[in-house]
Formats: sequence, structure tokens, C-alpha cells
Amino acid sequence: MAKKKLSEKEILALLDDPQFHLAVAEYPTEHQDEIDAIDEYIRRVTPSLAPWVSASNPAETRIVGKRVKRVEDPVRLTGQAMYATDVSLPGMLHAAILRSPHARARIEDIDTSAAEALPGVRAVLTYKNVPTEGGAKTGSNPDRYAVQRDVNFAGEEVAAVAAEDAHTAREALDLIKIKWNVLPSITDMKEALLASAPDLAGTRTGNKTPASAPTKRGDFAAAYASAPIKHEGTYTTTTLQHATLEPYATVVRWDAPDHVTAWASTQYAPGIRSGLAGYFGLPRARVRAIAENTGGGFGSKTGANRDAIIAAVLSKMTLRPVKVAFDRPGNFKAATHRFADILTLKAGVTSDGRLVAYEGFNYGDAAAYRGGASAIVPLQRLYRADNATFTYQGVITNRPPSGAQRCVGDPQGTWAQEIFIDELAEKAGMDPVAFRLKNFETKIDQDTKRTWASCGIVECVEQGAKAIGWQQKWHKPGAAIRGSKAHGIGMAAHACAHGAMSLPMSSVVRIDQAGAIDINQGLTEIGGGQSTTMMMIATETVGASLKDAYPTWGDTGFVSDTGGTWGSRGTISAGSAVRNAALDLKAQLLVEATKPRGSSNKPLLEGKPEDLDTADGYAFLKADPSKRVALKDIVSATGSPMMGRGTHVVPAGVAMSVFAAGFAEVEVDLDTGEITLLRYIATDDLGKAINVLGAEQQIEGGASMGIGMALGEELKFDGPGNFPVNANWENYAMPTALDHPRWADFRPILVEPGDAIGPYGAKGLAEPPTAPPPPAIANAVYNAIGVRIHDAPITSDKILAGIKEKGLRA
Amino acid sequence: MNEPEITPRAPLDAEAAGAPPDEPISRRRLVAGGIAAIGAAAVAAATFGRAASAVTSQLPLSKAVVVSDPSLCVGCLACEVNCSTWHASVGRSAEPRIRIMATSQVKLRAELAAFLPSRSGYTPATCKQCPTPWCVENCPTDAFLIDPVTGNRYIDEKACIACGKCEVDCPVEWTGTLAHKGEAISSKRVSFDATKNVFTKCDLCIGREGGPICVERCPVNVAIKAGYVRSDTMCLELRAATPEQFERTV
Amino acid sequence: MKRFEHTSATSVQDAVRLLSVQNARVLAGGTDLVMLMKEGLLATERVVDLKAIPGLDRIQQDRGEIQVGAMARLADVAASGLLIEKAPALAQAAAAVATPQLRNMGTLGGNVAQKVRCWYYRDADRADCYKRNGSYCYAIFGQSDLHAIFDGAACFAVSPSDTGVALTALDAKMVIAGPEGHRIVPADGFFVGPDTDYLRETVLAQNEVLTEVRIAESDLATKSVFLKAAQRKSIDFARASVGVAIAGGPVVQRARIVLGGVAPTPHHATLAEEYVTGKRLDADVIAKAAALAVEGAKPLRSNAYKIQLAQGLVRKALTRLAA
Repeated sequence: MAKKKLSEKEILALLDDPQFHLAVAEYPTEHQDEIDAIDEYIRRVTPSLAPWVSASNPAETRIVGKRVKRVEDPVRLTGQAMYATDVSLPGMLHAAILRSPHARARIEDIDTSAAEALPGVRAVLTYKNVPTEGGAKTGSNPDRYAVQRDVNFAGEEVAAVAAEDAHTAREALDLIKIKWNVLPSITDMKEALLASAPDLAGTRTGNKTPASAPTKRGDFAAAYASAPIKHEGTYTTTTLQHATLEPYATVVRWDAPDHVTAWASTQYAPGIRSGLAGYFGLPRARVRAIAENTGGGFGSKTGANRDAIIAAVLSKMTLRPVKVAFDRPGNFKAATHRFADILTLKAGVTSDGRLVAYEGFNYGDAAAYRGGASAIVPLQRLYRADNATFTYQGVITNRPPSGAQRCVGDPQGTWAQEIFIDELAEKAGMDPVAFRLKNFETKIDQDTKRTWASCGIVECVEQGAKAIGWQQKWHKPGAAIRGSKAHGIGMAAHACAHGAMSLPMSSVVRIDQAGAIDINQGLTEIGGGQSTTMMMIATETVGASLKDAYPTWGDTGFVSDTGGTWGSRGTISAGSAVRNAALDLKAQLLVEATKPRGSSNKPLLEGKPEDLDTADGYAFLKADPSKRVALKDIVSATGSPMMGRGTHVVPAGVAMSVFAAGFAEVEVDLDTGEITLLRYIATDDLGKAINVLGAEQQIEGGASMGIGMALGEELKFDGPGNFPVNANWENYAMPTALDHPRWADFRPILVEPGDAIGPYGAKGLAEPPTAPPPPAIANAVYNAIGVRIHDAPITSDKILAGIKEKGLRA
Repeated sequence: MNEPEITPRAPLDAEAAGAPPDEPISRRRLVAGGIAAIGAAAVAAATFGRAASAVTSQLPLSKAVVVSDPSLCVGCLACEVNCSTWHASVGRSAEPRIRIMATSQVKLRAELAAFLPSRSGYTPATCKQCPTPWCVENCPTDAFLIDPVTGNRYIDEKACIACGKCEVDCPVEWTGTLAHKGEAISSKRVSFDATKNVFTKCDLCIGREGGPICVERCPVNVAIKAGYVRSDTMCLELRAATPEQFERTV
Repeated sequence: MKRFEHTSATSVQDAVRLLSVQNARVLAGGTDLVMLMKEGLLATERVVDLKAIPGLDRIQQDRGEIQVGAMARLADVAASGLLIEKAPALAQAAAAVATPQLRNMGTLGGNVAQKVRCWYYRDADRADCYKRNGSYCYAIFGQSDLHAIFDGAACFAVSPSDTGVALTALDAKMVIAGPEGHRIVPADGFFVGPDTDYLRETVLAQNEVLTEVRIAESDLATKSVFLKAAQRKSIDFARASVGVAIAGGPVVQRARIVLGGVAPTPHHATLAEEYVTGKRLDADVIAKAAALAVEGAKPLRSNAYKIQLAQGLVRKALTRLAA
């Protein structure tokens, strides 16, 4: 395929497009040509750093690689943190949202007269008065407005009321009368693909999204035909919701006819800014987005969602600040969701256990607004297969919008692949660990032929197997049943594109005469410890102390755009920019330290800049560290604050990939089908931990989400009605503390091979730990009772059916 | 499918309060020579070998009877419970006038078995609105009435003295096992309510806007109407109570 | 939430008096009532708070009875040494409810008198549910994972109360105060199924207050156990539960085997009770009893697993009592 050529204008436009950055973070392989062109451009235009200045050797760091308590935590732990939901402004109105009870319908007519007449109601927004011209859409696939007339999923926003208080706004919803034309709907992908299915989106494509070309290498059919061991299986996952503790929420104030301020719950304040600017046709400078704290995002808060748009429209209508805060059912129904996938895998293995032919067909639930729903990245990456074909096909349904949820499609792919690989190992007569070790691809991306900048998958598996005691504990399926309890262990491995670097990567680090360091970077702090991490990288690189710095984040009035906090890109992307800005600052400080100045015309330190280094707030002579001067004194000597600028770009020809493994030990109760997760070991190749404490917390959080996906999370839809039945905390079974292993048995293990590209050898981390738990637990259940579960989640009803089928209980 | 329409009528209480435009037909009026005044087409028919009498042969047929398609019944008891609930809410006996019998004779249709494989083998059954209503003829107190517009045979519970003649005359029974908790039953479809000391039977929910509640609220009917289940017939529906219909249906 | 009047009763009589107006509701722990009010599921014009009534939370022994006040917090019921010794099934059931936070707020009376948790009933968009005086049951053709396998009648929601199952197994008596004074209803007759009235769950009239439960001190109550299976190990309502109480030993003289989470009321496994009576609880008898306990179940579309689950719980409970 010919490489796409981009003009400088196109490159600059893409660099400035938040939607593009989001797309790249989630599906980099689909945008490789654009990425390459932009990287090449930035390499060309970026001034290079002084060749003699360098960051600390990763092996000899003073701050990086330590356990640091996160500076952003105390305000939250003491309940003082302000989230968008907490914002209260003078004269602020409260909005309530009316949602469709139907999965697919058109509003024939809507009568809001009674709602408008209710005392305290200030505005009612429906399809009759919603803006539709110009950029006034929240999506175009199909067209989406602030509120909808043509409903595509149950729970979709169809009207909004702004009133003096939240109770009045909600009461007004009951007074809105709607005449519905309910249309046939489908939430099951398999049903949507039937020839008899209604054309849900008028695409006349059999409810399929446009097909993309399959990924091919070698000749799968021939290799499969001649392989002595063959296996095939189909695996499914279901729709999940992020269930962030803080639902979607935004407060918007029209400060002036052409200036808007938004307090948002978001992973990407600049995305809110560009989203509102685009919607209302305002220059970006005239929108300020503030995200002081965000109560969880996990991929659901990547830009201006309907909460922000509705708040802005109502605020413009009333000229009062308006708060829109989704309630819990609303968030479960109408935020973005992890999409369901169906994967059919087929493989041929040689008699000595080598994978030679591999095929994957993936139906992904593109849902009501046709999001990408592919799950094939782990299939392409983790195992070497010279003959392979991977195909993805999106399916249109009336499920709520599909979007990114922690690790996006990869846990779905890993669910399928890792159960499948376990089955393959059994067919080949091999131990599951040995089979995997034999078949890992550790050097290159087999499709682009780029070299991995690092790969720690072998260490991940070896260390995990050792920690769980694989040699001693693994047994034949169903061979450890005592009374009503069956014991088993299982594992899963994972590779994905998350944790790779992506644009934009630029930052400014300043130091003032008092030695205070200000890190200007645009990552939005969403609870992952990004701010502390940036602070550690900046102070380590400048050679200052942690106490001399405090991070700034999440206000487009103060910070530049460093991209969103998603795709496990924060530490490495913003971190690289911060490191480069800090290096630039360090170089300037050393130059200034060696400049002759003052009446004596003497420098602060004798020697050339390259003879100096910095640490702990001082610049000193490498040859004689006792000859030193405080950084703040250097700044004072120059008379004004100093500023380092940094930009970064991915080096050519290499690629980043992250790897993880999980080991689960379970006990299955044969009477009740209940699973007890006795132990879980998460091993993660993160290159190098910047903040060890933060890294462990991220792994635990990711594994916890994976445990939820494994053991119960599933948004269920009413069979015929296609509306969700468990859009609440009660019935959407997120794991509780008691569903996790005890603290001592829930262990993250950091695998740190060091990476050639990332700052201090770091790679991204936040998402990969989410993927291994579901298949690791499924494999452990198989080891315990000999029952294969192919359809996530692994719930007691499925276990009981398996127990019955196996005759383990009457 | 030609569904006869049941004209909504005022509730019995309201009728008692004022003079209704159309007097219900009762035994007394019949015997007193009121038959001509009715002007309805009279049909003579045999009911379980019992011939029509001079009186019953001149009674109008009911334009409606609740009939069921047992192959569509999942035994949910909604008809029984709703029957009971609505009648109690208007002050009449809370005894269900329609009962679901459990029987191995009936097989659930595949379209429904796909949803509910374990819920096969039920038959809803209620008063058949006989062409030859001996119950009406033999009622000594004019508690048994016929709606002159619809032909609906019903009991005015206020006038019922619980003599039991109608029960004796009733040609159809509920015999066997009920879907309700698997209880045994042996009763005529005109049945006795010990709590209120009255006899009661299906009155096609006379006075209820929307007609018989069992038909309206049968969840299978709702599912068929909504297109969840494909079927040409309803689990419960209203048909004209012709003699042929009488012989054929349960 | 709509406006309502909050009143605080000083005595049981006062509470009954305050309940005399239309749509007045009893407030105990408030963990269910407040949710119902917020969701608009229960018209409420006045709330009658029982917290200030002295002595309504006592757990005591009196003349061969264990008396537990309706306002006893579930946490206290779970931790009561008296109950753990004399009526362990009740303590175990209270301990199995929800979470520590909810057990600290929720009361025994509130737990037995709570409304069903059916996800259709609780969905604000499904106003046509029978239980909301509507015209349809969504569970019959929808997702019936949580619904009844026994005794569904129009409505297929299950009784959600864990303590109700234990109290039924323990053959407890429920003391109810109303305008006419007190009446005592056995636990067996306290819960109302939808075949009687699908708009309510218990015999409590709108102007009545459950004040106390009484359990006769007996071999039966002492040898009792409650087990619960839920999706998660905390928070959840029972997918199935069982309360078993046995008198005699090693030959069973009397047995009460009650299933929870499978029927609109706590469900007596009558066949199993009759079968074990007069027998020793060996493995075969236990297996047979467990099978009999679920005989006659009529599952809907997605709750057939409850048959096996309830059977497994009965097996577990009997095994525990036999040991």
C-alpha cells in the first residue's frame, strides 16, 4: 500500500485536532501514515537540545523510581476536593434530563407547555428548539444533537429542563408529554446480522459498518490444512460501563456573548474547550475549560459529551450558569460503554507445539453511534504466527454508544485469545506456561516489522508463575476437588498498543527566583497520579527537590495541550515533553551559572556548562561537588524567571508495546457455583516505574476492573424491549472489596526491562493490567472443575450449568 | 379476526343507583312476557345433551365470550390475579372467575417455548356464556342477568342469595389441578365465594372500560401485540358466543 | 423527591395515630423508604419516624421467648450473643444483609417489610408494571435472572428479605400494632403473595406498625442455620437463600426448610420438610431432601439456575446441621 502524503497544512491541522489525538491513542495502527508524517515534520522543525546536557542515568536517579505519596491525594482524602459536580455558582440553574424509555423510536410530537408553566422552570430544550445548524452536533454517525428526536438507544437524551433547583427540574420532566413512534430495535449483534433484521440505521449494509481490509501474513489456509493439531473456538464478551464514581457532569457559564467557561469532569480539558468552540463556532481562545478534579474517566470522558453540550446550550438560552450532572442510571444508560465482541479463533499447531497458522474473525458491537469496536490487536501482537489472517467487522445495534473503556478492545481480544491458547496448549499436550513461552513474539511487530523498543513478556510470565507457585499448584482439570470445593489456577498473557507514545508532546517548565518550579503540562489529573509523576520527572531532570515543585493541571487558561489522559500515554508522552523542557531549563541554568557577571565579572561556578551537573536544588562541578551554587541563586542572578521549552517525537523505526500477565488461583463451590478468587498476581512490563507506589496502585486498579469484567459486570438488556435492566449499582455487579483476594494475596509485580524511548525507560501502564484477569480466572475455573466458560462474565449460573453437565453434582 | 365489540357499561353500583336506559334481561321479565320486547334473534341449541327450554331458546346469544388458546398460555396467573383484583376493587367477589388448569395435554407453542421452555401445559378456562343459560332461567331472585346489548350473562351479587341453583345448572367444570400452587380443584365455573356468601362467574368485567381485564392484561397478548411473539391468535380473546364456538372452545 | 411532612413518633400508639392520614409511611432505618420516595415509587405525604420510640430496639429473653424489637438494627441483631446462641439463623441472616453501612442503618422490621427489588419495578420508566398498579409483567418475556421460580402470579418479583426467610424457618411470631390494638401473626402468614395482592408484600396495613418479633426458645430455634448465595460476596440481595431449623437428633422430629429469593414470599419446601421428618440426616437423605426442596419449580427464561442453586444451599444447610 502506498504511503499517504500529507501537506504541511494538513499536518498542522491534525496536530491541532483533539479528535485525531484521541483516535491515534486508541487505534494507532489505523493512522500510521499520518503519525509517521507528523513525526517526521516535528523532527524537522524542533530545535535540538544542547548535545552536552543529559538527564540522570535511570540507574542512579534520586526521585524517579522511588515510592512517592501523591501530592494530589490529601485534598481528596479529606473531602475538600472540588469536582464539577460540586461546583456551585451564583445564580446557577440545575438541569434534569429526560431519557427515552425506548431503544429505537421517533418522537412524533412533544408537549412541554406544562413543564414550562411549572414555577421555577427557566428553559426546556427539545428537538423543537435544539440548535442543529453548522457545528451544532455531538456526533455525525448518525447525526446527534444536544437532545435527540430520532432515538437510537434506550436512555438517550430527548429533553432537558433548567430550573432554579434540581427537584423542580426533575418534577418538570414528569410534565413533558411525548407522542412516540416506537420502531423495531435490536441489542444482540447476532440478531442484527440476520437477513431478516430491520435496517437499524438506514445504511442498507445488513447492519454492518464499512469493512476494513483484513490483516494478512503468509498463507493461513495452507498452513492450517497441513498442521497436525487444529483448534477452533468462539468467545464472547458483553457491554460494560465504566461506572466512574463521578458521573458525567459539567457546569457552563456564558461569561459574555463570545466567552464561555466550563467546569467539566473530563480526561481532557482541551477537548472540552475544542468541543464547545466547535459546537458554537467560537474561537478556541474564547472557551476556558477547567477540570480541577475528575472522579474517574477510564475512557468515558474524552471530550465534550452531551452533559457539556446540554449545559452550554441551556446556559446560552437562559444567560445563567447551568449545571448538568447525570444521575447514576443516566450514566449507566447513556455514557460511553465498553463494546461487546464476538471472536472466532482458529489455529494450527505443529506436533512440537509451535503455532503456525492463526485466524481471527471479530464481530464488534459498534452500537448506536457506530464506534470502533475492534479487539484484534492482542491477536496480532502477542504470539508469533507466520501465517495469519485477522478480520474485524463492526455491527450496528441499539446498544448505547460504544467507546473506549480502559484498554478499549484489547481485554475482549485477550479474553478470547488466552482461553483459546489454554485450549491449544492442552491439545498440544503442553503446560500452558511452557506453551506460551514457546510461542511469544518478543522482538517485532509482525505486521509493520518495526522493532519493539522493549519487551518484558517472558519476565512477566516467569515471575508470575514463580510467585503463584505454578509448578507446585497446577494440576489436571478437576483434579483438586475436596468436598464441595474445587481448587484451580490459571494464567493469561497480554500485549497491546496502549502505553505507547503519542502527540501532542510539548511542555514548559519554569523556575523563579525563589527556586519554585512550575510544570506547565496539559494532562488532566483523573486520579492516576499523573501530576505527581510529572513533578518527579521535572524535578529529577532539573536536579531540584520534590518540595520545590507543585504541578499545575486541568485549566486551559493556564496549561498547554499535552493531549488527553488516556491510552496509557500520560507518563511517557507528557513525561517526555516535561523531561525535554526540564533538560532545556537545566542547560540554560548551567549556561547562566558559568557566565561571568556582576562587578567582579566572575561566574557563579568556574568551568564550562558541560563540566557541571545538578542535583537536590544545586548546580555543582562534576569534578568537585563541593563547589556548588543553589539553582535559585542562578535564577536570581539573571534577574527574571527562567523557562525551559520541550517537545518530543517518537523516534523513527521503533515501536512501543506493553505486555502484562496475570495469574489467578480460585476456589469453586460445587453447590452454589460461587467463585472465590484466592490469589491474583499481576505482572506488568512497564519499562520503568517513575513512581513505584503510583504504579502499583494503577496495576491494582486495572486488575480490579478486570476482576469485575471476569466475575459479574455486564449491562443486561431486556430481551424484547432492548432497554438496560441493571443500570444501577445494585444490579450492575462491580466487584466489592470482598470479591478481591485478601490484600496480601493481591500482588502487583513490576517488570522493568527499561525502554529505549520513554522517559527514564518508562512505558505506559494504566490499561494493560485490566486485560489478563478475565481469561486467567476463566482458565483457573477450568483447572478447578474442567468447565470452559467462553462467554464473559463467569457467573454462578454458567458455572452451575457446567457442574451439572460434568455430573459433579446432581 | 372479527372481534365483537363490547360496549362499556356503567358499573353495577351505578346501575343500581339510577334507572338504566336498557333494563337487563332477567328470568322474571322473561316469564312476564318481556321476550318480545327484547327483539333479539333466538337460537335453540343443545348444551351437553340438555335441550333448550322455552325460555332459554329465546335468549339472545352473548356477543362475546373469553376464549383461550392453551398453546399460548405460560401459566403466569395474570388473568386470575387481575380478575380477582379488579372485581374486588369495584366491590364484587374477589374469587377469580377465570382459572388456569395445569394439564399435560397441552404443549406450549415453539415461539413461546423459546422464551419459557419450562412453562408448558396450561389451560385458562372460564364461563362459556352458554347459548342455553339454564343458570339464568333457574335463578330465583333475578340475580342472574343478561345485558340486552351484549348478551353478557352475569350475576348481580347484591341480589344473589347463594342458593346454588346456578352452580347445579352450570354444564362446565374446573376439575383437576390448578396452575396456582398445584392445588386440586373440583368446581363448576359458576363458583361459590364463602367470604362474601355469593355465587360468582365471569361477567366479562361488565362496567369496565376496556372490556375484560384478563384479555387486556394477559402478558402473552401484550407480547403478541408488541411483536415479541409471533402468533395469529391471542392467548385470551373475545369471540362471539355461537353454539359452534361453545362446543369447540374451553 | 416530592415534598412530605416528617413526624417523629414518641410511642407506638402515637405512631399509629400519625399513620392515620393517607399516604403516611413508617420510617425505620430509611434505607428502602427513602429510595422509594426518591424514585417516586411510593406516594408519601407524611413520614412517621419510629427512632425516638423508647425500647423498640430491645433484644431480650422473656418467659421462654426471644423478643427482638422491630427497630433493632441489623448490625445489632447480627452481633447479639443471645441470638447467635438461641436462634442462630436470624443472626446469620442479619449478618448476610447488604453491607456494614446498611446494617448499621437498616432495622429488622424494615428488612422484613421492605418492597421487592425487581429491576423492572424499580425502573422509573416501567410504570405499567403490575406492582405499580400497571398492566404488565416485564419479567415474563424479559430478563428474569432475579425472579421467582415458585408461585409467581402475574408478578414474579421475589421476596428480598434475608431475615424474613430466617424468621419463617424459626416459626417466629410477628407483633403488629394498629388502631385496634395489637395482633400477632405467625411469620408463615405475614408475607403476602401476588396471588392475594400484588401491590403489597406483607399483611401490614398502611396504618399498622410491626413492633416486635418473637421466637419461642426451643431445640428447633437453636439448631437453625441461614445460608445465602448472591452474585457478589457483599451488598447483593439473595439469588437464593435457605433457612433451616431442625428439632430432634439424630432422628429429625420436626423440620422447617424455607427458601428465599426464589418466590414472592419465603417459600416452605414442604415436601423436603415431610421427607426428613423421622429420618437421620445422612448423605443420601440430605441429597433427596435437597432435590425435593425444588420440586415443582417453574422457572422463567433466565432463572432456571436458581433450582440448582437452591438445591445446593439446602444440601449445604442440612449437611451443616447434621454435623
